Amino acid sequence: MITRRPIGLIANVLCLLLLQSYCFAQDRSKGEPAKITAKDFVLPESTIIDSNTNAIVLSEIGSVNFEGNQHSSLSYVFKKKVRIKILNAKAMDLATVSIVLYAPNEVPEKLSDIAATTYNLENGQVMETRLEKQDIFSRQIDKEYVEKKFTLPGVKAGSIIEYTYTKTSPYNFNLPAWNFQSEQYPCLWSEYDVEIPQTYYYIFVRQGVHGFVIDKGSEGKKNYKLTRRADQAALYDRQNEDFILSAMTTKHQWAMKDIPALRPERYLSTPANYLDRIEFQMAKRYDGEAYVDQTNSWKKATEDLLERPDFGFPLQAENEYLDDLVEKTGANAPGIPVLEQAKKIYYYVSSHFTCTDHYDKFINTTFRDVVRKNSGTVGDINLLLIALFHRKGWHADPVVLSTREYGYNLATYPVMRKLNYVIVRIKIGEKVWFLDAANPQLGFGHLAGNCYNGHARIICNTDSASVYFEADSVKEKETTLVLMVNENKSLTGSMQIDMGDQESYNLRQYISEHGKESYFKDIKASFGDDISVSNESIENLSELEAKAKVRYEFKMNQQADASILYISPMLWSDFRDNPFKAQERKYPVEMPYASDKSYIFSMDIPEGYVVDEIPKSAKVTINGNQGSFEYIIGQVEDHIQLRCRLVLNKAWFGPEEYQSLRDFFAFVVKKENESIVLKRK
Amino acid sequence: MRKINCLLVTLLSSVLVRAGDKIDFNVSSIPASLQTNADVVLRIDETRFEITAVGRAREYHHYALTILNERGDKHARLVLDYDKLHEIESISGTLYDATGKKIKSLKKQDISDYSGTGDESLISDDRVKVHSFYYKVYPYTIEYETEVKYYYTMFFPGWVPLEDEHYAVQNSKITVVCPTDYKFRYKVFNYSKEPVVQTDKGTTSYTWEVSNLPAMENEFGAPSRYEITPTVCLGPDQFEVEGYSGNMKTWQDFGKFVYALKAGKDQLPEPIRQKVHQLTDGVSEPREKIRLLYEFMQQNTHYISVQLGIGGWQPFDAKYVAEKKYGDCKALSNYMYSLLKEAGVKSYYTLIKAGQNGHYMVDDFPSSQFNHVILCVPQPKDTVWLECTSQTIPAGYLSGFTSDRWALLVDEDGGKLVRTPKYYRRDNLQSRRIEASLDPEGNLSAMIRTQYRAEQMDELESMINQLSKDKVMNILKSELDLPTYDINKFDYREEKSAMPSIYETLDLVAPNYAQVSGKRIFINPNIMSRSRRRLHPDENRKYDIIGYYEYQDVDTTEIKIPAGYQLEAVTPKTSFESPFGLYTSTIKVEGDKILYLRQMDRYSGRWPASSYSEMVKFYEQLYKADNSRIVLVKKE
Repeated sequence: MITRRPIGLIANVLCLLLLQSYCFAQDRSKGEPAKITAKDFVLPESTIIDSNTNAIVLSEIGSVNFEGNQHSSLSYVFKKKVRIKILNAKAMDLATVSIVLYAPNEVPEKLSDIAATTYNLENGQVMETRLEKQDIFSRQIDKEYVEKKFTLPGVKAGSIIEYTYTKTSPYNFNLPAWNFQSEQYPCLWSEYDVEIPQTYYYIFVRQGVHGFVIDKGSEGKKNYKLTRRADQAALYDRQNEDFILSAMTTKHQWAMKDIPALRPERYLSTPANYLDRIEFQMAKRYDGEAYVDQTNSWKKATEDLLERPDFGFPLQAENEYLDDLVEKTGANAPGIPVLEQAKKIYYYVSSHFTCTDHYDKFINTTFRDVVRKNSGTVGDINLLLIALFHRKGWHADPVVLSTREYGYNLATYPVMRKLNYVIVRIKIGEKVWFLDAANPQLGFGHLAGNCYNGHARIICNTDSASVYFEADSVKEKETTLVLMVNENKSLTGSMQIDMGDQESYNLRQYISEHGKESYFKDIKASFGDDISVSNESIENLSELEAKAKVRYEFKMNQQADASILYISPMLWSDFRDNPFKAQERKYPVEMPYASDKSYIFSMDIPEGYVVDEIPKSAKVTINGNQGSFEYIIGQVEDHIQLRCRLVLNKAWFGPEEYQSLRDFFAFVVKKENESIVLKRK
Repeated sequence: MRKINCLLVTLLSSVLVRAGDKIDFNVSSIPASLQTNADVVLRIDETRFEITAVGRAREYHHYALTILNERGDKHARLVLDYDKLHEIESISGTLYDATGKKIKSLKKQDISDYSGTGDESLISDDRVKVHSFYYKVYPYTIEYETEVKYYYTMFFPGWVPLEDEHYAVQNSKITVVCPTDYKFRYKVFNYSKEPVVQTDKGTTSYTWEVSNLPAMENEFGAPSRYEITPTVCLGPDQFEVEGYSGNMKTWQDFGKFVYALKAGKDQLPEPIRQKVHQLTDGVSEPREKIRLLYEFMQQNTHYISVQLGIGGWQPFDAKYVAEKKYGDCKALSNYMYSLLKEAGVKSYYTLIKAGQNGHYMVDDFPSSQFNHVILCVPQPKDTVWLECTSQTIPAGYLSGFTSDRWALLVDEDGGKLVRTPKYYRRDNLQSRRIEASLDPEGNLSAMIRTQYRAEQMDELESMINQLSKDKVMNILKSELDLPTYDINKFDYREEKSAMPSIYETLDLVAPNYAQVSGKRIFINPNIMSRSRRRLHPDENRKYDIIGYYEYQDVDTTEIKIPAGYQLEAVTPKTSFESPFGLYTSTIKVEGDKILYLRQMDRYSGRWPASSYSEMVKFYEQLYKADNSRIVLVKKE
C-alpha cells in the first residue's frame, strides 16, 4: 500500500557520493560574509519580507569537516555562523542562543570558538558590542546533556546580531541536520557545506519544497591525524600513539536563497514534516580493509537492531528470571487459552509499568532494572513485554515507527532518528496483533491515534517487513441516540452515546486523570439549568477492548405553557462551530481518523402543541465519495424523528481539498444549529 | 558550635520516629472519614526545622502518604529543589503495599537530577532531585525521609498540611528548634492552640500539630488556602544570606536589608548620564521626564533573567544594564531608578507579588513573600508606577499583573508597605459598537469597533505587541466565538497613557450566522459579547467567594435585516442585578433594523458561601440572556 503525500514533501534519499558532479571549476561561490557596514542596516527588497516580518536571517552558514580524535577515530567538526537582523522587540528571543551537547563523562561533545557580536547603527556609525566569556553559561540538564547558553549584549530593535560557534563530536553516525527554513523567520541565504573523508559514506534525506541555488559536489584529498590515547592502549604501552590517515574526500555544497518562513497551521501532525531540511546518516564505513554497511537498508537495519545491546540483543537471551513475573501475571494458570494468557501478560505490564518517555525506542537499562523500577521508556516497556511473551515460547517481535507529532519516517530507507517509538507484534494462531503496553488505557490490540502515521517496520529475523498504520484506515464509528417523551407535561429523555475505539481511549484517558464525577459535572454545567441530568453512567470503562458507552437521563426545564416552543434537536454535537475556521490553507489537513458519526433523535410533541415549522431534510457530499452529511427529519403522527449522519471516508485532505472541506463543515454547522418550532394549539 | 550540633542530633533521634521504624501503614487503619473524597491520605508528616546559627539551618522532613487511586499518583513523586545556598544531605524512601508490608526501598541510582532552570531564565543555579516508585497497585503507601542544609535563613518553611484538594491528613506536625535566645516569629491561621514549647539545655523547640483533617475540594473563587485551612507562617528576626545580614521583624527592617543589597549600584556610565540630561534637562514637567526616561529604557533594554546565588535577590548594577542592554526585574528597575535619580526624580525600588495569586499576602507578617520588582515614583498629585520588564506598556500603567495589592517601597530608611492602585469597574471598560447586515440567506457581515481599556486590554496588549501580524490574524481567524467566519480586515490602535486603551476594528463576515427557515429568521443579536460561563451548582459550598476583577461591558449593535420581518418571540428588555453584577439588555426592531443594547457590570467583592447559589443563578441568567436567539417571522 502506498500513501499519497503531496509532491515535493517526499523526502529524497540519496547517497552523498552519487551526487558528485565533479565540477572542479568553481569550487565555492560564496565565501565568508563581508564585514558589516552601514549599508547592511538597509533592509533589502525581497518578496519574503513583509509587514509580518519581525526579524530576517541575513545568512546562516554551516559546515562540517572531519578531524582525527583521541579515540583512533574521526570526529566531525560542525561550524555555524549566523547573521540576523532584528526588526523589532517581538524577535528579541533570537538574541538568546542555546546549544545542547551530548556530554557523557567519558567522551563528551565539545563546544569551542564561541563569538558573538551585536552591531548597532548610531549616528551613521556601526557600533559593536561583543559577548564576554563570563556571559556564556553552562547548565547540566541531566546526567548526559549539557546546555551552553548566552544572550547577545546590546541588542535593541534594528540591531544586527552575529554569532559563530564550533561543535566537535565523535558521535558521527549522524551529522548535524540542517534546516534551510525556519518556522518563524524568513531567511535570505542558507548554506551548508560538508567535506567527508571517503572512509565514511553518508546518505542524506532531503525534504521541503524550495529548490537549491547551489547543489554541487566535488572531490578532494586530506590528511587526518588520529591518536590512540595511552590509557586506551595496552598496559605496557604508556604513550600516546599518532596515525596519519590520508583519504580522498567528498565535498558537497547546498544553498538556498530567499526562503520564506513556514508559518504552521492547525490540524497538522507536525510542521517538521514540511520544513526545508537535510539530515545525514552513515551508510558505509571503511574499516581498514573493506567497506562495512551501516544500517543502509531495512535488511541491514533489522540485523543491526537485533544485535543492539539496547534493543534486540536482550531479547535473544534466555531471561529466565522473568518467569517470576510471568507467573505473577496469572498467565500460567491452568486451562486458559493462549490468547487469554497473552492478554493477562499484556494487561499486567500495561497496568503495572509507567512509561516515562514516549520518544525513546531503546532499552535504557536492563529488563531487571525496568522490573525493579516499575517504569521505563517505551522501549523498556514494550521490549519487556516481548521478552515475557518469549518466555512463554511465543512468536513476538518489535515494530519500530514514528508517532505523528514526531514526524514521518521513510519506507524506502531506515533513518533511525526518525523512529521514536516501538510497539509489539504477536502472532497467536493465524491472527496477528499489534500491542502497546506503554499506554495503560489501551485495550489488547488497540493503538493510540498518534501511532497511525504511515510506515512502520517489523524487526524480526524471519519475516521482517513494512507495515502501514494509516489514519485513513481507522474508522471511528459513533452513535448517539436521544429519546424524548412527554411525562407529566414536561419532556424527559435519555441519552446514549456509543463511542468508537479512539474516542473511548480519549475518554478513558480523561477519566483516569480527572475522574468520572468531573466528566459528568462538565456535561451538567454545559447544559446549565435548561436541562437537568440524572442517572449518569459509563459502560465498559474498564473493559479496555470494548467501546465506551455513555448513558444519562435528562429533563428539559422548559417554561410551561409557552405560546411557542423552539427546540434544538442537536443536544449534543461536535460541530456547533466549524473546526476549519481559517480561510486558506497551504498544508494538508491531517485528522486523527476517518469517521462515521450518527445522531438519532426522537421526540414526542408535547401535549397541546402542533408543529409550526421543522428544518428541511438535506444531504450533501464532499468531493464525490470522500464524505457525506445526511439530515433527515420528519413528523410521524405526534412524533418528530431526526436522523443525522456525518461520514468522512478519509482522515487526510490535501490543501486543494481544503475549501470544499471547510464549506462542507459550514453546512454541517448550519444544519446542526437549526430549530424545531412548536405552537400552542 | 560543634557541641550544639551534637546535642541537636541526639535530641533529634530521641524524639522523632525514624523511617524504617515499625509504623503501621495498613490502609485499614485509615479512618473512613479521611477516605471520603480523598485521592491520597497523609499518614504521618513531620517537619523539623533547626536553626543552628543566624545564617545556618537544616530541615528534616519525614512523611508517609497513602495513594488511594491513580489520580493520587501526582503526589507520589518526591521533588526536592536545591541550589548553591541549600543542599540536600540525604534522601531515603520506602514503598508499602495496602497491608503496610514493605515492598522495597529507594535506591540511590533511581534518583534523577535535573536542572531547574526554566525557559524563562537565561541561567539560574536551581536544580531538582526527583524520585518515584511508579507503583500502580492501589492503594499503596510511600514514605520519604529527607534532610536539607541551608546556608541562609531568609526563608523558613511554611506549614499548610492540607496542601491540595482530595488530600486528607491523618497526622502532620512541624517543629522549629533553635537556641533559646534566638528570636523568630510565627503566625497561625485556623489553628486554635498554642504551640508546644520545650526547652532543653539551651535549645527550645516549638511544635504545631494537627490530626484527622478530611479532604477538601477546591471551590470556584475561594480564598487562599491559608485563610481556610490550618496554616503556620514562620519567619526570622535576624537572618543572613551570603555575608549579608538582615532583620525581618518589621517591614521597615526588611526594607533596609533589600536596600543594602542594591546600595551603590546606581552608577551610570558617562554616555548614559549625558543622554539623561539631553532628554530631560529642557523638560520642566516631572511626569514628562518620567515618561521620556521610561520610554528610553523600554527602547534600549529587554528582559533576560540571570539568577545565581545572591543574584536571586540582588540586582545587577546600572552600568551592567547600560552596557548589556538587558536585565531581570531587579536590574531593570534599579536601572530605571538610576536614570530617574540622574534626572533629579526620586523613586522607590518596590517589591511586589505579581500575578493572579499576588492578591493574597499576609501583610501583618513581614517576610519575603514577593516575586517581582517594580518602580514607584511618587508625585505631588498622583503616584506613577513603572513596570520595567515590559517594552511596550505605557508609563504609569500597572496592568492586572501588579494592580490592587500590597507592595514594599524601599529606600535608605527601610521598607514601607503600601497598596498599588486598583482599576475600577468603569476603568476596565469594553465599549463596542457593531454595524452589521444580514442577507436573506442568513449571512452576516459586520463592522465591529471596540475600545478596551485598562485591564480589559491586558491580554490584547501582549498579543499585538508580542506576536507577529500574521499570528494575530491566525488567532483572530480561529478564536472568535462564532460558528463560521472570515476576517476581512483588522486594525489596532493603542492609546498609551496611565489609563490606556486599545481600539480594535474588525471587519468580518459570518456565513449562516442566522438560521433562515421557511418563514422565520433565528438570530442572536449579541454577536461578540457572549458570556460562556456556567458554574457547577454546589449545595455544600463551604468558603467565601472572592472576585478581584471588576469591569463594565457596553454594546451597541445595529443589524440590518431583510425587509418584511417582525419579532415573533422576544422579551424586549432583560434586566437583573445581584451582588455579583448588573445586566441590562434591550432589543427592538425598527423598520428593517434590529437594535440591540447590552450593558454588563461585574462587581468585585467578597461574599459569604451562602450566596453561591445566587452567583450560579446570576451566571445562568447571563448565559441565557447572551446566548438566546430571537425569532423574526415574515409579516403575513
